[in-house]
Amino acid sequence: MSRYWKFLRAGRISPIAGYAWPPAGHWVEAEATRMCYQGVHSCRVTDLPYWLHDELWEVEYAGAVVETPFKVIGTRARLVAPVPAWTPGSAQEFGLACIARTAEHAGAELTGSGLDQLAARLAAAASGPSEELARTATELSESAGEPAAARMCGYVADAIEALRYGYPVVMVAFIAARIAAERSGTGSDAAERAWQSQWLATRLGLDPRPVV
Amino acid sequence: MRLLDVNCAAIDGLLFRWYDGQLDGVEADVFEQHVLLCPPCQVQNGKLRTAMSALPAAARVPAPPGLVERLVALAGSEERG
Repeated sequence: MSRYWKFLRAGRISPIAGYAWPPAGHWVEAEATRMCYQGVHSCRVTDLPYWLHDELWEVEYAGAVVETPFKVIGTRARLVAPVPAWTPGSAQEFGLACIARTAEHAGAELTGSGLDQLAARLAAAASGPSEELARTATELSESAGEPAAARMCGYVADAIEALRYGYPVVMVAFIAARIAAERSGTGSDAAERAWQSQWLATRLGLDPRPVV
Repeated sequence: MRLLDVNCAAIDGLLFRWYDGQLDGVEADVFEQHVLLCPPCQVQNGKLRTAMSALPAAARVPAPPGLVERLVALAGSEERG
């Protein structure tokens, strides 16, 4: 049986439909257009970065599970146990890791545009406090002279601001994915999302192997 | 429809259809992702959820006496006309 996980708002509330989940161990059954408005949704490891929220739970399904690109859906499921390693602290760590990735991508764009000195400035700022990185990124977004690189420096500042001012960490992950997609040349953020998934699985001790 | 292309104006068009279960898989993912990412759309979604949850109670208000008969009669007169 495959393992799945589910992010919920604090108090076991589904983030969008607002459904209040019962405590762990209690089965819930979805009608086609109720529950989370078409079934019970949860994540494989690869889906985690898209759905980050306050609580992370391991989930068990009964019956068939349909796999879709960004989640799985079934009609009967229960919460098994919370993932204790997912806390505001580890969410912050993940956000900071995504900011570092965003800065790397922006630096790579600066370098690719022949702006090696500016790339070095950004890299130096990225090794220090986030306030310094935010200042440098903002300055470069206004002065870099190459539009794509300047825009990506702006993303770095956006990511730092999002984390600092309490926006959901899923937004920081999205910014990192967005800049990676622009850098990819194909518009795909798959590689960045794979990196994010691996970070989360490792940090949170999630074992994606099927339950025997 | 790609997640990275969606903005708040596009979400407006998806909101009611999501609640009606009319979005296909990709559209639903895009809608849900945007709502997770976007605080103003989270607020909008919350307001809509509150309004939608009030609808069943509103629907239990009975129709005034004779309304159904008058509507049937009206429909019949329109057909004959």
